[in-house]
Amino acid sequence: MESVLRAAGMYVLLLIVLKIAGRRTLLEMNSFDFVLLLIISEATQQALLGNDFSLTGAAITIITLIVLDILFSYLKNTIPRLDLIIDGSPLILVENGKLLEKRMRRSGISEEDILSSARTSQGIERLDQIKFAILEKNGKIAVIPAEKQES
Amino acid sequence: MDKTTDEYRSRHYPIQEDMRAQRVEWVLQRSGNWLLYVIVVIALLGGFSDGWLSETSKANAQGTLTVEYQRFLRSESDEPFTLRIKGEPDKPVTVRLAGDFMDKFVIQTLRPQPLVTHSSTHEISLTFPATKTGEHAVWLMTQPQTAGLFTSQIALEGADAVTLKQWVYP
Repeated sequence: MESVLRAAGMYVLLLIVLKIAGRRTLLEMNSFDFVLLLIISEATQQALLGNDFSLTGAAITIITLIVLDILFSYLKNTIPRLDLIIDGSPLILVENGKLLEKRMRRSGISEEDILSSARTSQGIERLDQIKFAILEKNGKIAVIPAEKQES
Repeated sequence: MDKTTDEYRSRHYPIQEDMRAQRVEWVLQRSGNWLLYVIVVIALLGGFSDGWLSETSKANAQGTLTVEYQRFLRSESDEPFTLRIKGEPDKPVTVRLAGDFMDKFVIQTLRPQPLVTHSSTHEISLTFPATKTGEHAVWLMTQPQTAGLFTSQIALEGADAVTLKQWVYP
């Protein structure tokens, strides 16, 4: 019983904390994020399994986590409202070459982040070459270039 | 003004936005940030064991037994107790540990080792050898096995018990 509660508790806790930290956290892994991920998993591991070294204990924990994942994705598919709460909706950050500054500030994304994404994904050099930049649900920035005749 | 309202308006192309939900998310994120700061501050102060808020001591009415303990404990982590005893010179002392103490804690270490140990259904009595001054100390390292509110009694034989209320985090 305890293994299931531990796994569920940790899953929900991490879900909430990462939600609070925002999409920006998972946007791009720099070395610091990598270290953070390693440390978080190390801290989580102790609380998940405690002193239980048994195969059964590990199996119960893993199965609980997978079941939670299945349940969440099922619920998200059936209740769109829940999907909106858990995953959020995509957000337009650049519209026809114009920055939507308030949105960017509140999402913690700088012009540099958008231009960096534009360079890597589309080979775009300037802001006015961007038609739309969209912060996707998974934290990545999708860039749609302006058509040739416009630029 | 016009631009402000415009930025918070939902776009429909190229994607369907929901700015109302987005703004709720931002507000929750900002208050969530504060919640995380508060948790760190409480943890630094000892609200989750080990710190100024948590460390305390309690003596019995006669002042012969003082227990140094933590108000807040964490389940399955090592938690210390120290008993300081002012007994009579050249007489052995007996300490009784009762209440939730024996049932919900596992004693990891007990220093010094008692001469005699007695137990009844929910308690244990430890007798320690006499000292010249009558002063004794007992250091216990324990591990709470569950979470919740624990009420334990620690008593010196022939004196009032010290009742400890401790909150154990899961």
